[in-house]
Parts: sequence; structure tokens; C-alpha cells
Amino acid sequence: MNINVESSSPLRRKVTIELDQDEIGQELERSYSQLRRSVHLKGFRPGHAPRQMLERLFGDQVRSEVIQKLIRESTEKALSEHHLTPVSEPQIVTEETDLKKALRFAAVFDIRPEIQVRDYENLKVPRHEVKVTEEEVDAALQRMRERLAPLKKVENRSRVEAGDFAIVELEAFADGKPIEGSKVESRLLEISDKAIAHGLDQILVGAEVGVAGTARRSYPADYAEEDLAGKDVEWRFKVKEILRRELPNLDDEFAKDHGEFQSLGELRDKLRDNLLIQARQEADAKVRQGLLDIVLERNPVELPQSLIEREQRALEAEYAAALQASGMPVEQAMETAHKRHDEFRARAEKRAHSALILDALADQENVQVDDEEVGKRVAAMVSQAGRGREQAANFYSKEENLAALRASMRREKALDMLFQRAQKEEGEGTVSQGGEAGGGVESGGSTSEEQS
Amino acid sequence: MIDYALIKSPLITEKGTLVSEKTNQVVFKVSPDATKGAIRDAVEELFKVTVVKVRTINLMGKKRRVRRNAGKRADWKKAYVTLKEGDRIEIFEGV
Repeated sequence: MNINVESSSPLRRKVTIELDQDEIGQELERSYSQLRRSVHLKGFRPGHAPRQMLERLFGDQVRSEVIQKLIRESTEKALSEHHLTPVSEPQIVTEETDLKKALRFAAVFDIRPEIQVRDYENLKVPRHEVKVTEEEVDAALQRMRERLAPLKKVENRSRVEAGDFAIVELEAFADGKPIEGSKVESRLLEISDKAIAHGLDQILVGAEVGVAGTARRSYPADYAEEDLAGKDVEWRFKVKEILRRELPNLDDEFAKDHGEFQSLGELRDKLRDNLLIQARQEADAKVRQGLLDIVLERNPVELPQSLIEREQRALEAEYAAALQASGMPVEQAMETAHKRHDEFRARAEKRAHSALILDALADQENVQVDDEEVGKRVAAMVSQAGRGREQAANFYSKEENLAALRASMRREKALDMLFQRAQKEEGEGTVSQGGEAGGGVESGGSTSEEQS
Repeated sequence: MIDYALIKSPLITEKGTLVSEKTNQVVFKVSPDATKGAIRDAVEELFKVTVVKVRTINLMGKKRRVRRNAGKRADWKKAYVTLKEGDRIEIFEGV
């Protein structure tokens, strides 16, 4: 095996590897003998097919498998021999693949820059005061009341009003012909411009129960829904039933119905606690990000190109997934996301930078994530995954995904460490609200450390 | 006149590849009424090779039955054709 390492830029390495006949021959022989055992050819007992026959029948397949295997194995070997750690999957360019001659290829990749994180020791960030006002608790209670309000049939009027719910039969016609896929036989719709599209809420307001009606609407040519774009559409509809939310009374009964609460006061306390925890987490996240920003600024790093590209692709994929979740078809979502590829550049750089710095910090401070922690996290995520549970479990049973999770947990831990240290001095005068056990413990721990 | 149709098909088997390596023989399935001479002529013309020797064997078809109906596979003849040293026939070669 002939290895040649070139560096075209400080971080980029090109490793050219050439394998000679012997090495290829051995691997080929191994593949064929493995294949021989499993192949049944007419006229030959299993395992006794001659190599020539196998070559004629399966040659291409075996050759490409052998090439792949050799590339993978020799790249690995070359990297460990020369002590190179790529930050991303090496790109392979094959130069000679005629196995009768030789196998020559180049692996191009960026290596991890040597980083010594500096100036992160004496960062101090004041602890944000977190408060939850009674108004916020009231608002949360009101939201809960609305969410839990049962739908009741409206008996005393027969015309739809805005804010109602209605069970509706609906179909769209253009030029007298029904538009495919537009027919809805009986669906519960909330009559509000936020809940239904195509201006249907305006059409349905005022409709009478049990009476079929029609309404015309034309849509501009660039309308987002292609089936309707540029058409003069006639909507035929019939309202079958009107329903309205009935807000439950806010009393102890309400509290008892929705959880293990004895009284409304208890429910309020619980809501207040939740809001406080949430606010605390948000504030903490901000502090963390602030700290990270400072460290990043103090430690500029030359970022490997491939790492930025990988983050860009990751951002693109996340964006596409978000679009998809909001109801866009898969291909369109991917396309839209791809168009914004370049806009993700700055964020990708920051993510790459953060990852490198936090990794380096974790190395310097000897931050470790043990198997138990990873296991717990996986268990938590799997149980949260709901219907996708099996899929999630499957995902984390793979070594590479687990490794990625471990790496990101290690970064989290490194950032956590920064956060804990920065908080110490401010620990004493923290919030005096109830349910703030976390703050108390932290400040206690820090004082004892300061004394020692 | 040379009757090419006497040669039914090449017989590629474990034993066939063995003898081809050892003694430069090739094996064919031939018509049961083919004579050694006719086989020689046909093989020489078809594959443009020189035949040194032809040996044949008649094989009885195996008895097979489907439910109640007894049957028998066709009898056939196998020919071992020895080629002149250095001659080759493409279809028996590996690649």
C-alpha cells in the first residue's frame, strides 16, 4: 500500500492511496471464495463452482464490492497510520479502478484544527431575575379553559357566526365541473380565518343549517393552491350542524377534573410553577447562548470548509422538515429549502464554530459522557417519541447515531460547565420565589467551593 | 454433409471443467444417433478447432412419475471431445 499525503490548505488533506496487484488479488480471492460457498450453479455441487464461472457471472458485482471494501479499509488504515482525524466523511475520488492493474484513489477531507480554547475561565453573567405575574397565571388558566372547553350543539339559532364550529359538506366546482379532491362530506371546521383556508370562513358565515348554498370566488393565478389558482370557483356547501365552545366555569370542580388538584388555588400554584420553570429555562438558555457567543468571539478558529457545508446541509434538511411538518409536499419542501442553501451559510459557520470550540473545551476540561447518561437520554427520547417509538429505538440502536448523540451531549455538558461557573458568584441573591429549589442548591454548592 | 444439429449443447459441469483443464477435453450433449465421426466433423467446423479424439457414452433418461403417471426422461448421449493442444472453445472459457 502506497500512501501519499498532500496538504492543499492548512486544514485540507488529500491522501492518495495506491494498492498493488497482490493486495487486490488477495481481497478478490477472499470475495470469490465467500461467494462460492453461497452460490448454486447447475452442474456444480454447492461450493465447487470454478472461479472462472463465478467471474463470468458475478464479476462486475464482486469487483465493485471489492473496490468499495478496499477503499474503506485502506482509507481507515492510512488515516490511523498518519494520525489524521477528519471532521467529516472523506470524499473519495477514484483514479484507477482496473483491478488487473492497480487500485488508486484519493481521499479528500478536512482535519480538525488544533484548538486551545482561551479566556473562558472568568466569565460572569448575572443571573436573570425570573418572575411570573398573576396576570400571566390568569392568562394560562384562560388558555387552559379554552382548550378544554367542550363543543356544544347550538340550538337557539340556525345561522353560522364567526367563531363557531360547524359540521359542513363542501365541494368546489370550476367551469361546472367538480375539482378533484375538493369534496368533503362532513367535516368539523372552526369558522375563523386562522383555521380554514381559501376564504371559506367568509363564505360560511351566515350560512343556514340544512340549506344548501353556493358562493363564487376567484383566485389569482399565483395562488398557492394549484388546483384553485387562476380559477373562478363555485363553492357548494351545506352546513349540517353548528357547535360552539362552552367555557367551563373556573372553580374547584374544574381543577379536580383536570388533574390531581383539590382546589382552584392548587391548580393556580401548579400553573405558576410551570410558568416559572419555563421562564427560568428560557432565561438560562439565553445566558448559555450569550456565554457561548463570548467564548466564540474570543476564540476565532479557521473553520474547515467541509464542516460548514455539512452544517449547511443539516440546516437545509431541518428547514425542509419544518416545511413538511407545516403541510408542504416533500419535494416542494426540499426544493424550497435548497433555494435558501446559501442563506444558511452564516448560521452554519456559527454552528460549526460552536461545535469545534465546545469539543475542544470538553477535551481541555476532560468532560466525559458515560454510557449510563447516554442510555438514559435515549430512553427518555424513545418514550417521548410516541407513535414513532419503534423508529426512534431503531435509530439509536445504530452505532453511528449513538456516537453523534454522545458527541452532542458532551458539547452540552461542556456548555453546562461554562454556565455553572459563570453563575457562581451571582448565586447568593437569587430569586426568592417558591419552587426555586434549583437556585438555592446551586448557590449553596458554590459558596462551599469558594471557601475551600 | 456436416450435420451441425447433432451437437445439442455444451455441457458445463464440475466434471466437464475438470477434464477440460486436465486433458483439454470439452463435453457436449449430442443426439443419440450421432456417430463419433459426425461429432468430430461438426465440432471442427462449428468452432474451427482440430479434434484429436471423440469418446461417447449413452445415458438412459431417469424414470420420473407425476402422481399415477409413470414417465421417463429422454435418453441422451454425451460426447467427450479431445482438442488439439492449444485449441480452445470460447463458450467453455471463463471470462
